[in-house]
Amino acid sequence: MIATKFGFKPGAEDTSRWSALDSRPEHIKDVAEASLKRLGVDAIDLFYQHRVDPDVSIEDVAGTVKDLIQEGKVKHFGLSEAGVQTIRRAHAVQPVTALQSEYSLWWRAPEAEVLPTLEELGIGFVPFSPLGRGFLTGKIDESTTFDSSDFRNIVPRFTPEARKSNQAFVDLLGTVAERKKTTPAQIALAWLLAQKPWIVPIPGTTKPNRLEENIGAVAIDLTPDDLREIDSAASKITVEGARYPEKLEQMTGR
Amino acid sequence: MPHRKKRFSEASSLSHLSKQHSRRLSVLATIQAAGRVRRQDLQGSKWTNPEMQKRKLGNSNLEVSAIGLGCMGMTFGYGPAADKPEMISLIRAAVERGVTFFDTAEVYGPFTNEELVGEALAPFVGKW
Repeated sequence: MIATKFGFKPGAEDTSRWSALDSRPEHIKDVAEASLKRLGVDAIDLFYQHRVDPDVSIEDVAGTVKDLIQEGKVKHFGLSEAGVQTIRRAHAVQPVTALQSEYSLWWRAPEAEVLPTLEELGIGFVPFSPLGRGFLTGKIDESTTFDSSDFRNIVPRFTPEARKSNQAFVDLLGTVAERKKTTPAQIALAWLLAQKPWIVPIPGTTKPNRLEENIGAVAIDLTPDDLREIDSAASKITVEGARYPEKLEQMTGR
Repeated sequence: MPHRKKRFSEASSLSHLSKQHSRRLSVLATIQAAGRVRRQDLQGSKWTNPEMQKRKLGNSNLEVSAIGLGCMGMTFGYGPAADKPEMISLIRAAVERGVTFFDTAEVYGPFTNEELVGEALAPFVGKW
């Protein structure tokens, strides 16, 4: 099952950066053809709109993906970081299989409106950055330096001061992990899995041992008491720093 | 790189890794045929993991492994792209471990991440 996404294009000022949005129907169809070739598949299993494009109605986007599904080029429709009204409107045209948005112990915004809406509509949820871009593993601290091309350099939540302050999340995960004889990362993933049976996190890694560690989270059983303890302790921590630079945050929740 | 590029000569050498499903054995055979999979990719060096669980995405009939694999960071976002053959091995190791849900996007690269995922999963297309 391969999931891919459409909806970005090169920026007008700096074409080396794909900072602009483009979900025009003809563009979606072109991207679908090109992605099929790059992936070497006959159909894209799950095709997400990467970010909502305010210049194109979501009905037109959903209708275009519906056409692609009828043509057999796409199997399932997804949205990413969309707001609940957009999710409802899209779902009315073409059933949405999954929403992919950030969700983890240190970014719980989806709990307010998004998760109840998904539950009501029967849409799956795919949390990205379930390990907080690596921070919740406990392997990043205030002295960690990132490569100059690393996105985390421009994320407010990753300034050295913010990392120092946000260490409280890692400490919390570490306390539970120690008792369960596992790691902070496994607790962070198990916590997500415990929220709803239709949540499927997608941690990334470049290391085989981390792959095994992440996969192993399915075996971690958090009891209702564990979950209450984590929620109670996390609610007392204030996250320092935004999850995105302002320009990127503005592309979400629309 | 400390990894040895050891290949398996017989499917039987993998039998201790997977005893439960003939389907999974066929996946292993496909990995073996695809080559370039390292022994340490297929064995948890530290974790003794159970069979991967499955989950359904909402009311759809789309069933995927309970944990997917986000591939963005292999080529994009978190510093220079990682070594491509190593990432192909990593993605195939995930398949062996029961992962059936792989995430990419056109904009990651752009293009290079989809190309990586496509190449890594080519041996399995249509088999899960």
